Amino acid sequence: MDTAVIISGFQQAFAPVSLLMMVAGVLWGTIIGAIPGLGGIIAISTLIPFTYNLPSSAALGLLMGVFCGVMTGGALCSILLNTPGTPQAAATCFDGFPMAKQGRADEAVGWSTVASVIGGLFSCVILIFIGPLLAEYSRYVGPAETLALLLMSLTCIAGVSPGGMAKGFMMSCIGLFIGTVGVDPMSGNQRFTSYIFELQGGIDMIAFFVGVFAMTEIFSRAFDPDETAKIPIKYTGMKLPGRKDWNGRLGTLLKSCLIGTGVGIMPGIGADTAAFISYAEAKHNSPFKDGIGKGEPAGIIAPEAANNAVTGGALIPSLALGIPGDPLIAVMMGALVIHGLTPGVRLMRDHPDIVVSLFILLILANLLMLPAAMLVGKVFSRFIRLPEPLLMPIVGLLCVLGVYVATNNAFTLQVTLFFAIFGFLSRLFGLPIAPLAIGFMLSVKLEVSLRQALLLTDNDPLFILKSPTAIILFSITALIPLWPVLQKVKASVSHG
Amino acid sequence: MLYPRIILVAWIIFAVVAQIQVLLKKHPVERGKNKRVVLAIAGMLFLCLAIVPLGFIPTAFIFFCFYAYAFGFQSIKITVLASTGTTLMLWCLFEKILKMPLPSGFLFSQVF
Repeated sequence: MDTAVIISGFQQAFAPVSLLMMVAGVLWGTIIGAIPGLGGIIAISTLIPFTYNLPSSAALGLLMGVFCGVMTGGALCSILLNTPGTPQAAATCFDGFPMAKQGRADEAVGWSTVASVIGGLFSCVILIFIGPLLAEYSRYVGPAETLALLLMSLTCIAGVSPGGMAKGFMMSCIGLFIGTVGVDPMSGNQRFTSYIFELQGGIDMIAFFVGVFAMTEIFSRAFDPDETAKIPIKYTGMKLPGRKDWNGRLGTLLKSCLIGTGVGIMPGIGADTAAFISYAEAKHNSPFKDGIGKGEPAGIIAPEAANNAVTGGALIPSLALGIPGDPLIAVMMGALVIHGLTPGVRLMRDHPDIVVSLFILLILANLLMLPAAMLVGKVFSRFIRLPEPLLMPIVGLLCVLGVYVATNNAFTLQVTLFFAIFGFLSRLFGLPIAPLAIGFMLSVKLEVSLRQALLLTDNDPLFILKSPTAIILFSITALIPLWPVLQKVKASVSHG
Repeated sequence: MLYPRIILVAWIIFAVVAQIQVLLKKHPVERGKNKRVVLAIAGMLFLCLAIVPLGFIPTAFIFFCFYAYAFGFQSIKITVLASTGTTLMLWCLFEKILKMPLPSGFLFSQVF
């Protein structure tokens, strides 16, 4: 790239207005991300009108700031309230909240923020150096490979569920089934909607997650006979992990960064899926896998590094090919078009200075997440210090309002309540929530991949044998449920 | 309908296996404060059903007071103050800052 272009990119990125807008964007994104139900799309949509009169680089700074800030805010809410601020942070609840309940909220927020920053920076580096090359490769990832990857992550999480593999797989199936409600993605026919108009678009993701996580938590707190569960969460400020704390967890971090970037590159999968896939991987392979689900930092590192690594990864096909890798990116691409910047091959050719400034702003926004999380965390700490009888109605109101404003539909509130009761009963009977959530999350993508793969091969069920990548992934998937049996056989053989 | 059928068959198989496992080793179900959880669900049901017809402000106020009571808060004065403050703060946040309309209901539709 021409040096003049790089210098121009730096000048635009470091212009005071760009930096100011980026700081505002990070703070706004962190705050909106921390409110359950609201997410990146709302955070960006509400700011688009403010960008009209801004120079392109300042608008980019604002958008990049929001893009990164939302992930941090979502994690804060997941850790301190067991309420995913955004769907991307849903997997962070599994270990973040148990850590907070153990009095380790400061540590949990520290782990999540550091993992987010590293994940984001990692994907930025990948975006800058090998972005165009990877964008080309992403065109060759077909439905068979996507299906294999999704099945593998589903099997990973179900296979190691507390309460046994059968319960894990059963809950995955329920999640997958809930995901089929609505219009058939291929034929357009209605399925399991009982001709209720509001169900035609499927079960709303925000309603589902707020129901099974946040409202379930409220009901569980009302019910819980365990008095320790009612001890208020103490958060005094972020505690960054020390060098020794990383022993054994660096591998999880690196894998999660790679998963996040890889998933981000594949168009249409998104940060929420990346977080769940990465969590499933950590739960299966991390040296601390026994503690995951009970309050283990590796269970926070995995989803947080992955969902932030998606930011850079998802920008690769968006900038290079004009294909949004994530719904949030699609909204952002719309905002860029308003500024006369059409993502795609021509953006790199016609506005290389803008692309350079975008890279720099993305790096800066990732670095800014640390102070932003500290600042917003301080405000949050006052909020969570409230006594439980005053905190619970506020959380309940935020959940209902978040769902209502995101969908503008009263019926969705009833759906949320249904899933809250379902989640509460599941918890009561010891059924794991994680496979349910990941099953629901992946259902549509799994179905579309399966049916596309079948269509491409004239309904040949052996389509998996036509792709080496798919064969490897399917083999791993098949081995996961057999792994405990193999280990038992190995143990009995060694004991004679 | 192939995909939902595959899932349903898998669901049934795993449910049967899980049921057999449960029957083989019985887990005692913990008994908690059933009354409180019924109140919590009832309060949430009221909020979800009444927020649109009654409007955000009265529904949120009633819900807050009811939940504080259900979770065992004693001071009526603090409950009313906290309820009023939270309701107004959330209304300002969504209506004025985020510019997202909240349901005004038939009582307040003429005012807001």
